[in-house]
Amino acid sequence: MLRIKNLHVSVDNKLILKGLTLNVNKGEVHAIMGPNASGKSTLAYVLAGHEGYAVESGEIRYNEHNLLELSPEARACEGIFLAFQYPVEIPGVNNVYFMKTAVNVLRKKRGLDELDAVDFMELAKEKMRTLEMSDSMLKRAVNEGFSGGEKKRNEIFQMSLLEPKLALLDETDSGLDIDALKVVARGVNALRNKERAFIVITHYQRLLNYIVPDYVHVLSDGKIVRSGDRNLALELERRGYAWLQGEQAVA
Amino acid sequence: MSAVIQSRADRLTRQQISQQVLPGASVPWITDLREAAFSQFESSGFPTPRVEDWKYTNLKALQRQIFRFPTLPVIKVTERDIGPAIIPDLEVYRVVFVDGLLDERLSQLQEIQSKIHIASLGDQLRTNAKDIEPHLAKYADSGLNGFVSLNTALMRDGIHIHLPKNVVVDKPIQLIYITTTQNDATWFHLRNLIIAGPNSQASIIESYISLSDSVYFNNITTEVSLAKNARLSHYKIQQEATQAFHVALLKIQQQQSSQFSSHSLAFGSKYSRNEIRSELSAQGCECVLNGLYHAGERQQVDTLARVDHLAANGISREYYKGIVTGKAKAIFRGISYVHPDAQHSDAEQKNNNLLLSPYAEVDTKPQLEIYADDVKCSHGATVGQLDEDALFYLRSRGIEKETACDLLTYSFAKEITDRIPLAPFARHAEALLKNVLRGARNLEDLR
Repeated sequence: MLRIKNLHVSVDNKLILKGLTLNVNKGEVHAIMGPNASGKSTLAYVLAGHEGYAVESGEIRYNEHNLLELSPEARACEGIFLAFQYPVEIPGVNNVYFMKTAVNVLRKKRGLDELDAVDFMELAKEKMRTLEMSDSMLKRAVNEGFSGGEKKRNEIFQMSLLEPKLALLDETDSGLDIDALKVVARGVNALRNKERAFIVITHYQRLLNYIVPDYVHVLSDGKIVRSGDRNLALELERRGYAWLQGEQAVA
Repeated sequence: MSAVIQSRADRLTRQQISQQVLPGASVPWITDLREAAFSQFESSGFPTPRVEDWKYTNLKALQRQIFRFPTLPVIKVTERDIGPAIIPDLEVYRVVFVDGLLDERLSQLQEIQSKIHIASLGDQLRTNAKDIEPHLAKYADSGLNGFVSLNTALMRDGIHIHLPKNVVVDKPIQLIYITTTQNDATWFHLRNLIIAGPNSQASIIESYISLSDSVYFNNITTEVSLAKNARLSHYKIQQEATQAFHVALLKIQQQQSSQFSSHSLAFGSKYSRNEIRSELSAQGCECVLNGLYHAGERQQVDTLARVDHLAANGISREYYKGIVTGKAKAIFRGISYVHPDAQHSDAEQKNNNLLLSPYAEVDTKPQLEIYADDVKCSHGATVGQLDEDALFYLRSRGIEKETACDLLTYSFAKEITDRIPLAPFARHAEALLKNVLRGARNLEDLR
């Protein structure tokens, strides 16, 4: 589904990703771990199409597409979804209006009928129950005045409405207490199926107790330096990242 | 019938004016007033950039233009023609002016005349001038600038409203000014006089629309006097045609504990100026000025909002937002002037602009002048672009770039429409804004 080959990406003329290669097949859950400033969020933004990230070389194939040729909105229509580490507050834009617009753009693209206000509300409320969110969040402006936890839940709520093929979770666990973490993980797990792939970016193995990955990759200085199964995450929890960074230096 | 006379404003002569049939010609104080105002215009002309209040304004196109005095309307305006000014779900007392003159056929004067005094200002000048002598040109100084001088010299019609003591008008009074002129470059000098007696309350809506695609110039002076405890809400929607000039002065004088609010939307015309000046002349007055402007292509939109705190315990608010795109220019000047006796004044001023094109320009100058020592005053102005992160966030959910831009622009403006207390008017304003944004974008696409 996703083939990233020797990807080099810079931000403000500084090279962040330095030859990243990663393959993700449908139905798989990949965890990307790594120390601060290793390029984890950059990978998420590049996949979602942020224009501030310049691809210097390498390629990204997504299904039959050259992903780099698609606008952010076209990528969303093709089923890519990014749950933001820092969801943006948009005062004046109502959450319901925003999500109904987004859902209908995608439904149209997929050849489905657009939802009217009543059908949309029914769907939205059902999804919100799973995430233990209060209905009042729908009436508020997008993320405005939401607590950190509410923002993260709102991201997963959006994901559950948009039903992506490839979901990127960028440090969705940061800023969540353990109860909220469980709720969010439950929301994610409810979406796991044979068709849908996930890339879960996190610092900590804790999230992976709840969202169990098929693969774990360690990103360091813009490259994947080690890949393994979930035991790698446990080992990182025990030993930290330093030994891998050292290994890379020796290599 | 007046002779058809064409002139550039600066070449206008007394002799040309004398050939016009202007109301009140047989009343000495009115002819004196007109004479004196014209002398003021002759010596000042239109304002130049050397005058601080007009520093960023470019009036060249207006100054070069040859204008003619209006003839009688050629087009018979129908209900359908005034459709664009109709505000859905809002019952009003409607008064319609066609090419500067009151149209009784389309107006509902009788319905409201049992409650308040309301009449064409032209009629008032012709038949009952003495009633307005204590008020006319007493609030708006004819020497304020060339536009007011010219208006005073050449005023022909407008509305005169007098709210008696304690009267509360049950529905808003909507004044619709429609321009139909197909002749070249006609000018209209509209004059409104609104007197609100003690404890009276009313809402007044001014709507400017057009059936014309030729050049014309609406020069409007509105004088408002609020007696003790009077409350007046003033709403304005300016949707003049693309070749129009629109210069309006709204001058308010407030007496003790009176409340005035203005909610103004400036969307149309090639060049528009909205100038609001309020004097809080006695204790405990409140004045809220809330406005939104949008300019695209080569439009110029100019706003001046000034509140003079002359007595203690006054509250004033100025909230203006602007959206500027294409090669347009927006000018904002806000002044909160706190005079020495105006202790415990509370003045707040905010102007925020969204600059959507590299060729557009915004000149904003918020200003506080404070001569009392126990006051609470603040001001702030910003000029910015759409938030890139917010734009990416919306796009990452599948929303197209253009739609995302519109959504963010709309949300920027919504702070102003959210402040409009008359719900149908607020909804109408939002619908108009959506149309304006869509229209501006389509034009941008063609470029």
